[in-house]
Amino acid sequence: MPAKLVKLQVTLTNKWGLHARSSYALAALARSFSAAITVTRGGARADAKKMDELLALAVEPGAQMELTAVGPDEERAAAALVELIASKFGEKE
Amino acid sequence: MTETGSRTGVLIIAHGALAQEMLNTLEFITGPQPRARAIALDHALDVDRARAMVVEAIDALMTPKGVLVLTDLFGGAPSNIALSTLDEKNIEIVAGVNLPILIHAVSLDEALSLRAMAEALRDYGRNNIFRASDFFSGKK
Repeated sequence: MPAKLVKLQVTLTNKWGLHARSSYALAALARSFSAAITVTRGGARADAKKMDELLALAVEPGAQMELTAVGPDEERAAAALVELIASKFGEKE
Repeated sequence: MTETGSRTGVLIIAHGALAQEMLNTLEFITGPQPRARAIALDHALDVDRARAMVVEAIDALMTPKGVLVLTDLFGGAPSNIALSTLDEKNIEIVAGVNLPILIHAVSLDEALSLRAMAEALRDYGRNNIFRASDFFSGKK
């Protein structure tokens, strides 16, 4: 059976955007899933499991980015990442 | 988000307060890292005492795979003291630690050998130094 693909638009609502702590948290969570997960912003793409690639996207607060997950647990992965982003990465305002 | 478990131990050794501040910053970004330690070396420390501190920390962090030792400057006292334990301790030393190396050290694939981890950290540290304007003009 071909792998399904989940594609979602998400908006960063935390105070600092995709900075060191939020990139680390996103990458660490992404690595806990088997699915290949990418984050795209404009024309730039990052492997969501790699913090340095996420940082290089320079996603500012309020920006929208696209999450794509492909693999055996893609729906769980996408849901978990969306939840992390919606929680503002647990950051205090 | 923490990734600790039975991770390979990481020992940071540097001049002055640098090692502890690097560890503090690492934990600010990643959360607590119980498998990481910092040792400050300065000229007030006797060499034998400094070496004993390093050996004690390596032993405390030791796993069947060994320990990753990250030092600030190749040829400096922290590196030289770590090097002096190389024959008796199962360690890999990466000199020239920076924050990207440190964060990567606690995110490494535990399936890698200790040597492969050290090589990955060396390459990661090098690859994450940029002239920032090159990055934005696509010359990365």
